[in-house]
Amino acid sequence: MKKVLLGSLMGAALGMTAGAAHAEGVSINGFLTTSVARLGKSDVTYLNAFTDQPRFDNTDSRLGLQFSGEINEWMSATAQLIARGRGGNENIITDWAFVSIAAHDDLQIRTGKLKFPTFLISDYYEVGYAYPWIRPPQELYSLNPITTLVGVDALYTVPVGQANLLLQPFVGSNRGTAYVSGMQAPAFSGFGLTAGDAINFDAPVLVGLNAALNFDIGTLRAGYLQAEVDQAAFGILGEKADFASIGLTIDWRNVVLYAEYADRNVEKTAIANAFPDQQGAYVTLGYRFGRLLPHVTYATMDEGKDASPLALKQTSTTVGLRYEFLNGAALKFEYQMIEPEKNNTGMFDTVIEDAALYGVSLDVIF
Amino acid sequence: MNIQMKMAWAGLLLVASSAFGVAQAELAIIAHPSQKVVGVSQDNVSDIYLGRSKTFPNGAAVEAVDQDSGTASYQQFLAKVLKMDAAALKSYWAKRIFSGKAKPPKGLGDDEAVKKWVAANPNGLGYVQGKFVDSSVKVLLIIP
Repeated sequence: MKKVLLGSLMGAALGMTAGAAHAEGVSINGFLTTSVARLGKSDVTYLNAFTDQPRFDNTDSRLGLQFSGEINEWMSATAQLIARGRGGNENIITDWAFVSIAAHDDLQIRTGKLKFPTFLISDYYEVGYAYPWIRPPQELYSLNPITTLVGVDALYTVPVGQANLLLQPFVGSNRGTAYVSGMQAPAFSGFGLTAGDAINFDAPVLVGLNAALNFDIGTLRAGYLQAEVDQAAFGILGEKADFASIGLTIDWRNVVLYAEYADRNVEKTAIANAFPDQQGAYVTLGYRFGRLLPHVTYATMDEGKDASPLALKQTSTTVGLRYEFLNGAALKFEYQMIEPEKNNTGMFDTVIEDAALYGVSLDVIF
Repeated sequence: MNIQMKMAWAGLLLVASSAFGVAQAELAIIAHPSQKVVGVSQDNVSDIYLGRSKTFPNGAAVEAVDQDSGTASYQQFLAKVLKMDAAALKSYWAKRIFSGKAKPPKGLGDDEAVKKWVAANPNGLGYVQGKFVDSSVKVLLIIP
């Protein structure tokens, strides 16, 4: 088995295999993003990662390998491992590890470790090749710090005219890590925490439903997720955070559109300090010229239903270019202008008027 | 027409015929001779190849095989049946594979290999150049 695996990996590395490598019924697919980004202002950090020192080992760089094999006619197993550029070299995580059961032609039940779709592209968030930006708009995608659960989901597909409706209920639990924001830092100094420090928390119950209408030229989806959160040090015990979101993506006659809105609501208790109510939204518009996809994004992040002084408020405008220079390989260039609201840090670690973020990435799949 | 014009036209025709000569041949969508399904449309075939449907329109199970990406039949199938370019198809499958939702049909070499495989698999579905069709397979649809 080892030998076969090695052969397949070498084959893939040498470009000898087209698409997935098959070895004794085990298929191997992979993706890789390597990127470098630089912030246009000094003495400030964006997203706990980006400064005016360009670095390759930022949060964006990663390698993913997916192994999947048939167990029998009805069951298959899939594992996806991700090695991140950030942190130590031992930093490999299992993002997916599940058994899928084809209960019926239209029903697939999966159990194990799963990425769950809080938002439109949550379940392929790591696969940079599959979307136009270097990183999906953080004004929305940062709202939920948990992206995987250990539990079960079901993929039920119903034909609706020419389209397909996917209904995906899911339930499970997981642990997560959030990072102290610039707005939280003064309030949290009593805990000995500063901006960018990690807060670990437990989510014993994550339950939600994703509904996606897949039609010829795009997808319209809506989702709801409720998380129960424990964080003893903050006195959070069994408090609830819920996420409601709606999103649309269209790829029609070279026009590419992504639009999404999400709302995070938490109970008005201790949890509101760790996770204040927030809203996020963005619109991306692009146009394909053959292998070139220039695109522009406007994104905004604002306080939610309960106006919290800890809420992050910012807008950003991103101009980018995705260039598919070879099949399965894309180069991306981006310029992003980020503007926090007055006296707000946005996703920076400190109050700043505005800053530009420049980035280049290479995304491949194999 | 002057001589330069004639040469230019001849050159253009030569390029056009070598580039498109094969692609203009008919593509046959083939199944096992025992396959009972009738009235399969281009959309049905496309849904099966894109993993949106796991059965024929009559509910019968289907297993589709692809050709390797280098073949003329593959290029023709991509353009005429799936109506996608190679990059769009890659991106489509990237989303589905890495979210653990579906796998693409396996690539099985060329026309000859696909015909042999379909002839041996009662649930099989494949596509080959019209000239490869013989009594070992049943034609469900002709793509001009």
